[in-house]
Amino acid sequence: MAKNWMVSEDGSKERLNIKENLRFMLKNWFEWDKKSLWLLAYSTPSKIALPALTALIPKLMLDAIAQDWLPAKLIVLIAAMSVLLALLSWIEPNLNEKLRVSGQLARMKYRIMSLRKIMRIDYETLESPEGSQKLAKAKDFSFGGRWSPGEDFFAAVKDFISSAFGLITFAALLTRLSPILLAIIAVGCGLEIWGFHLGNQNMFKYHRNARPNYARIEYINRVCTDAETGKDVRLYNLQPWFMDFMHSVVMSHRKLVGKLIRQDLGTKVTLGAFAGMLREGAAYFFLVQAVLSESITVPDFLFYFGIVTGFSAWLISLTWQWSNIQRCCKACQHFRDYMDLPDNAQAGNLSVGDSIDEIEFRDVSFTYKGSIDPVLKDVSFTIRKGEKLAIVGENGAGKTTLIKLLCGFYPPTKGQILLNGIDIREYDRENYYKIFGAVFQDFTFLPVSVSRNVTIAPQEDEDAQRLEAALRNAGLWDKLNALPDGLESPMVKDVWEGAVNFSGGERQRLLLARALYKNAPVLILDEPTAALDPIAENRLYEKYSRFTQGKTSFFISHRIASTRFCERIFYMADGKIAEEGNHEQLLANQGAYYKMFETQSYYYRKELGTEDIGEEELAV
Amino acid sequence: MKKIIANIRLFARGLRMAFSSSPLALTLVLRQPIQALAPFVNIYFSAMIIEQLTLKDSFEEILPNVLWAVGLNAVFYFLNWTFDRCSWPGMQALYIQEQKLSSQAMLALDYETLEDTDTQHKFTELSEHWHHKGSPLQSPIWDLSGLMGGIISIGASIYFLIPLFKIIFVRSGEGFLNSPWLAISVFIFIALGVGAVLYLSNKMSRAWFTMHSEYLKLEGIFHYYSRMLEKSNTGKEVRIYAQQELIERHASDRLMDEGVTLQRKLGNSQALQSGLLAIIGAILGFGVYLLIGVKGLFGFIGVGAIVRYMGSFLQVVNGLMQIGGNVGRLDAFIPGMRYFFDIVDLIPKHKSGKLKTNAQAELEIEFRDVSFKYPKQELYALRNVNFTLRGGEHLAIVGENGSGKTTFIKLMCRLYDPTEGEILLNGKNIKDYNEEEYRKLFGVVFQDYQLFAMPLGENVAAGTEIDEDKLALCLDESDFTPRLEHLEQGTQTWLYKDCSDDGAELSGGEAQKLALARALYKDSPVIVLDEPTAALDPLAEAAVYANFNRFAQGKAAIYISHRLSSCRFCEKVAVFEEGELVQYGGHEQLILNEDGKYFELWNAQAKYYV
Repeated sequence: MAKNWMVSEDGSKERLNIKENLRFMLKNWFEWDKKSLWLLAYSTPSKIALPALTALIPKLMLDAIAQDWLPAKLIVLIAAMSVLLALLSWIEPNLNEKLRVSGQLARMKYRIMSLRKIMRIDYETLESPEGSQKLAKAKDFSFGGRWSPGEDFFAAVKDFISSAFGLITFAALLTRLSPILLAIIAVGCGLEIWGFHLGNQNMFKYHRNARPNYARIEYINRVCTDAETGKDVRLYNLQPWFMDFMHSVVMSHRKLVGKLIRQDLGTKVTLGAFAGMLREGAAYFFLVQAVLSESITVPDFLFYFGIVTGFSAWLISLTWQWSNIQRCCKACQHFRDYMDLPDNAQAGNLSVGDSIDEIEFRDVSFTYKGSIDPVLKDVSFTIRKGEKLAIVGENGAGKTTLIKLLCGFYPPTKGQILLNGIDIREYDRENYYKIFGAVFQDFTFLPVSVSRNVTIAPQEDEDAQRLEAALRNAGLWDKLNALPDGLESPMVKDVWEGAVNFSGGERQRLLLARALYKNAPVLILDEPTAALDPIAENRLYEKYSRFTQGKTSFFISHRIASTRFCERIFYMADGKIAEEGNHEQLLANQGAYYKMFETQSYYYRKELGTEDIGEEELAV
Repeated sequence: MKKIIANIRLFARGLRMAFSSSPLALTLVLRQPIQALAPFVNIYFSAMIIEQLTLKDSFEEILPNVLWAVGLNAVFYFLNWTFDRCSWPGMQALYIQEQKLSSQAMLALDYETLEDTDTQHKFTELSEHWHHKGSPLQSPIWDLSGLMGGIISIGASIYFLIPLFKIIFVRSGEGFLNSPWLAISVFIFIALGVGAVLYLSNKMSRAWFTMHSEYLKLEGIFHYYSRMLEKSNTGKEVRIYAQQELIERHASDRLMDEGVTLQRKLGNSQALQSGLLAIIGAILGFGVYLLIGVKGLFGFIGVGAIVRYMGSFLQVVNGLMQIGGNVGRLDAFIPGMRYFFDIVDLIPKHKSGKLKTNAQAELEIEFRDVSFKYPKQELYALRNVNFTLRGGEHLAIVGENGSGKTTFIKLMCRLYDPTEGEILLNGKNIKDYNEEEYRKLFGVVFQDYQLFAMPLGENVAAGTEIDEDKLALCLDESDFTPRLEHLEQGTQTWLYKDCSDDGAELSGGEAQKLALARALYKDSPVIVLDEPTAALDPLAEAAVYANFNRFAQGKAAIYISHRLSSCRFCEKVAVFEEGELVQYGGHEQLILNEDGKYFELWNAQAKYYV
């Protein structure tokens, strides 16, 4: 079947160390599935013997007939050949399958390696353009569907080795006959290989240009299936727009396909047909001549004809597999580049003590990589154990970035963050993460049960009492227990068809429960009430001091009411802490905080008349 | 029997659809005879040449046959590769068409049918089949072609082999060797071989598909995790909550454990299948070679014929292998086609009426005793709602999470029809209006609004026809312009990375602003905003409030929010509690009722601001 295409030769001139990558892949092969290496030793002879035998059988038969063998002897010969044939054609697919499984195993292992890596890689690198680029490139190695190089390597090595031996054997047989024939056939193969090469380049171009088309048509298909999206599609009558879009994809793809076919017919097919003619013509000519000049017998004609065909196949397969191995090495290089990115573990090795006495930002400035404008500018503050801090400010003032720095996701561009007087970079990173319980604005749930999502621990390590307390505090206990499967209900619809579908408010409560369950000394809540109704929001505020008993806490919110529960409030503007104090102090200050509070409370005041809401009054 | 006919019909329909969607795919079928017949050129001519060589013909006599062989080979080669090079792209084009066809079918559905769990279940089945067994229109063609190739191979070989059996009947008197029983037993022999191959392959490929699906399910979970983890924002939670171990346990451990076992089983089953095919081939080979050899030995057939028969027989075996590799699969693809056509054939439940809306007329929407429960749910989401919205009126809707606010909007936009009661537009049931026309009345920003991975301007204009001035105005109104200035390609910028590598990512606030711009661009007489400020800071929120009156000027407007401050600039407030409309009136009026839900909601929030 024509599924055996490969994508390679992207023309870019990357330096590629084939030896190193070969060693890496072979070493892993040896470590993971030593036994399968032996398969190579079995498969090579059987792979060479099969076509040789197929060429030999007719010759032997003709020989036997020409020499007038006894029928019994002929029967024995045929029986022997049949047994041999059965054996060889049994061994070949059998070994192939075993090797395929080894390849699959390796691919799984590589994928697991990259999954492990992505969870432990230094966060800053993960989020950087460099990191995501390397990740994207590395994916081809083990995620590339049917032709992932991590898996293909096994078959490529096997076929390369057997092709090499096959080529030598068959070439030796042919040289005995006529070196000139050998040369002509090699030239013919060369032409065909050249055709393949050109075809591959066309194919690569096609793949590169067609990728967006596949992405787009699959995207639209997902969108059309999705029920949530369906509302907007229908209300805004987006169907014609989507149809236009799909039509443009179809048209653009048709163009690419047309181009590919034109190019292929021009190069590969013509070259190939010509090469085939050259090869076969030479073979017939030489072999007929050889029989006529009586240097070979008639039965030999058949045998050598088979050998010529086999020789061409070996030569083509050899070059094909070599480019395949190169492709594997290249993908492997990308994979290794990614695996070499720095890990969490490369931070310090101090362990955080039992008590979080003090966290200090000392002149901290921060600029995202690839950007010029600093997001934080010389931020300095100290927060002590048990303090409750609220951070308010406009979108983009740097609140969330400050939290990311606090968690150690990014190192400050300038300045230091100190925990108990020691720069946080000195601490073991995974150990440092343990001190935070956090609700971030963006979130993901795992496709496991609700309770696993809260406890993030296997069932046997779950603390049932703590789980109940966390869920009760988050206001979810009753709702969850009313579900048919209770706390064991699965989450994430993409994976489990019957997964629970939580509303925005419920999701936020679940996140809170997870943070509470962790019971870490520092609690960070970034916009935890955005999706809650006023009553639920109020309940959260009322419970807030109980949750945070004895903990250091950071509360970020656009609802200024929440700041009342915090002893200290930072008003951030333009990357700086513009104002600081408690609610009363900041109001008395009459600064930006005051203005923001006034803006939000405007509509809650009793004396408001409906007709006088004007822009002037709200202008800030 | 009925089932077989139904399957054949289904298959024929699939093929028709495939070839009309992508005629190039037909070349895959055309290629089969070429590919199957190509080996016979050498079989036939090398036999001739050998015959001539044995007869000691001169080179000049042999030459025409050599030239024929070489020329015909070149022709076959040329045709084979031409078709091959056309068929692969043709199949790719078919894949794109297939996606388009199913998308198109879904777009034609009404929302209720789309969202229905049965429909969604069909999607799941189709996409699972797609993922596990291959595309529903492509794969049957691959396999039908494979089968066809095998059958043509065997057919052609038998054609070449017939003389071998003829001799048996024509000549007589050589005892057992020439008795018809031998020929018959050889035929039975081949037939048995074919039967065994068909039976085994069918059985084994079924088992293979079952195991393969099981494996892919495991891999699916792993895949979900890897996709999830690639989004860098999930990295924060993974690290802070030390989720690594749980994830590895759930994703990798099972894959390594059960996955490897399954793979080994799969490998063994494949190996067994090819092994059995090899044995059957060898047994057949033994019989046929023996017949040829003995016949040759007794001089019944010449050297050339021996060569021809042996070559042809080899093609019987190849054909058998090819049939064996494809036969069970065809069966496995039938369900995929069924899923595919199930979706293509879905019929919308909603019937669109014929009435036209009149944009100029004063508009009035009335809910008359409307109750509603979601399909397959026991509980009512809305109960006995009576309510009227008049043109130009501004309404705030408040209530706790899950009290029915959004459902109310969905009914009003006719995404669902009421279970009981009716909704009237200017006194006529909304079902009597043309659906598309009716929806033109509403500009809605849902809480879970969606923007699409297509150019920004098209997103706002909801299509490719864009009024640039209006677009600029709406982006300005919704306060998106400051971000727009940072986008190099302006309104041509693609959103998100799904469809374009240099697409722009948006923050929650920015996306909300674009969704608002889209509603404004639509310029419809009713504007509905569901939680439009959840992601905005107080100042940006105040700007939306201040602008609200301007862009809702002269329109009916509905504002749903957890921030009750919104109730102050709407003339009317509707309070929902557990699916019922419990209070309705102006803020000043509702706040006086200290036992009312509104008082409770209001105070829960307002107490912090006074």
